[in-house]
Amino acid sequence: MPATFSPNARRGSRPRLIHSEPVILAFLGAGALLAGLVMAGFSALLSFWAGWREDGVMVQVGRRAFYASAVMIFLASVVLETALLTHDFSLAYVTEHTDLSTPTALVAAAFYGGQEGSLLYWALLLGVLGSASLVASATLGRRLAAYAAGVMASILSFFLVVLVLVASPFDILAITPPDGLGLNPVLRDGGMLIHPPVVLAGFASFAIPFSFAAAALLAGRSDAAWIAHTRRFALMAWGLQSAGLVLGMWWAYHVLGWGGYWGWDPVENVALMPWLATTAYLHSSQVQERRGRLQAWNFGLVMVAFLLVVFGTFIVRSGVVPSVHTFAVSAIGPWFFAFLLLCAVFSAGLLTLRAGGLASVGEPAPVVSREGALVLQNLLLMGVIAIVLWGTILPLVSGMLGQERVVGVDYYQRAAGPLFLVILTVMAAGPLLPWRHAGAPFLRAMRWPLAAALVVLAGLLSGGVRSVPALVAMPLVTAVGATCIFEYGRPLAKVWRARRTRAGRITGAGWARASNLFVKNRRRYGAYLAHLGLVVLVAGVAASHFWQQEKDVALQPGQSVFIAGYTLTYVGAEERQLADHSELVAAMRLGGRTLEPARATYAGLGGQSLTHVAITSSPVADVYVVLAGIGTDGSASFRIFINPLVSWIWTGGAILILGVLAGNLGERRPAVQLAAASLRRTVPAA
Amino acid sequence: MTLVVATLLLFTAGPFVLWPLIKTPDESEPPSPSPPADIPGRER
Repeated sequence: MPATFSPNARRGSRPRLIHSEPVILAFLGAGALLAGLVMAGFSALLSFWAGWREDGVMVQVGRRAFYASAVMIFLASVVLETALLTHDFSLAYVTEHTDLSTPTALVAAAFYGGQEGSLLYWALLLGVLGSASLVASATLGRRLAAYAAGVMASILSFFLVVLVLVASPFDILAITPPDGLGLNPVLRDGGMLIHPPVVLAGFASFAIPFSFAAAALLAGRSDAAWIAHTRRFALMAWGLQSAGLVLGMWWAYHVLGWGGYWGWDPVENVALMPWLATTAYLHSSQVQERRGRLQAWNFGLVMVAFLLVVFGTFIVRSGVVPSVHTFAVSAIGPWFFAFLLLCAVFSAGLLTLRAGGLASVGEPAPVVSREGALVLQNLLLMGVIAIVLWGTILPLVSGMLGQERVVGVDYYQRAAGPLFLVILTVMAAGPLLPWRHAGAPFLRAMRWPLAAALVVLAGLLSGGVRSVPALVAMPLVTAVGATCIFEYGRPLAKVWRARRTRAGRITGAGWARASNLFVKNRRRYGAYLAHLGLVVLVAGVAASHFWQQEKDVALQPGQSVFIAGYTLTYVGAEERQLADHSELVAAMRLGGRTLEPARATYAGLGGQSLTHVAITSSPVADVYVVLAGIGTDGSASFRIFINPLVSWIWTGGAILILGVLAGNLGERRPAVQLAAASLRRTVPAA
Repeated sequence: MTLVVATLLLFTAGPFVLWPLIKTPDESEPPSPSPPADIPGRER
């Protein structure tokens, strides 16, 4: 068959020859991507034009083109998943990321396990979530809705250009191999099924608030309608990113075998920064909704969050900064760098252009007020972002200027640690502050967090703790928790007081009133639950940081080691053969339980080996055992960690997500209605 | 072949995308009713 236009005809890295047999899936997938690109490009151009002309019919056509593009991407995704599950090794992507021994669930997960597939997954989420956000956007006004579709379609077009021209998952191999290369051993884990899709979903959903913010600026609208419309999407992005970060920590803790869960790796940092920016935005947007202030700041924050996502993608995909995530390196870095520059110039230009119309009206609130606390919290979060950003790009910048410099964990802890402590202080006091003047009621309310902090401080001192950071952090964490519990106690106290005045028992009506208060103010109480989750998480992080114990030992069978009150006895070792790898397992007895740390070797993957950590977890501490090696004399070397309160991190993460869900699911007045109400109060700019 | 597939897909999607231009005024969706006004004291 002569060489013709084919899915792989543009790539330089792979054979150009085309199969003699039809490769329907590859052509269908590549065709769907190309059609999606045409539709997205058409949607972008038409939406901007229709928005400028305020042509309602063309705005609808532009929006429908976006939906059609999303459907094309969905089709391409179905094709890729089908190719993976049917082991179609004629596709380079299938060969490079799976093999016949890979379990089916991980074969399906290989969809986002490689560079090209993860970009397709990102585009799919952008298409689906973007469509969902555009469906109800008409209430925001023709022009704003059209521009939002235009910005979103432009972002989608970029991803599709990369997928069609540079990183297609539908490239065909000249010769179909009998088996694939398989998935990287580190990725052969249950965490692969949940961490990457959640993180990528979080990344993709940041584009929606960005698109609506940019559209509002383009349309000359500085009211809070776009905030109300995109609030759920911003919260979804934040919730997904929170879950993704915690799941990433959990995965690193269980798989990497260094006893920790956060190493300030560049890839961790670039996931943390947009989360910090969105955390700041979710708080500062309240100031705009309540007091009509901080408009420019909110626009800026949403744009910064999205730019940080693009920056993070550039860092992860380009390999310009050394990272543990090197399996994701490819040649698409320059494309993302160009996209980052374009987005930065667009955002900065737009903000500069509209700066005149974004000045806050009305008097600023006193420093000691809810608004003041939120502004301070925002500034502190910006400070942390700056510290993390500089730490991340320092190797790149210093390398360009001469000698490459790399900062370690110590830099982040010393620079960002104090800011985190001040943020905790603001979290303890902020929710108790009124929006305007803080007076005696605030001071009375502060008694509870203060008392809780002092009790913990006294407990730590009497327990012999002398570390100043620990003596500051743990009481502050307790104070934040006490504030949240105090806020929950207020409605219950009202019921209690009503009981006392009526000199009777608590009636069903009283409880109904209390629960009604929680339901009516679910956004507020959901936020407090999220705060509580964060406090539990931070308590786990702080305790495991301050009081982790570590010991390296070499033991003969029958010998024991004693560490932090735990006695572990080495029983013996054995070799096990599993479906896709062999394991050297060393058994250790801890009380009535047996821990089995192991070293796995993947013969089919060139003998790559991986440590399998053994962890026994309790609310007090984790016993974390890593097998370093087994000697010829039957002895085994172990590295043992005792990690206090690590399980609190995972529990806190779950509570945090629960808070986001509880505060936003089933809202009686959905965001769209809020947006419409806000719209009625404002006069759109010409 | 990719171009052919893409063209066929675009052709298929055409009526959906262009529907606002195709439909006659009679087929236009009726204007959505305005949300009911809040009645003080009434729980929705």
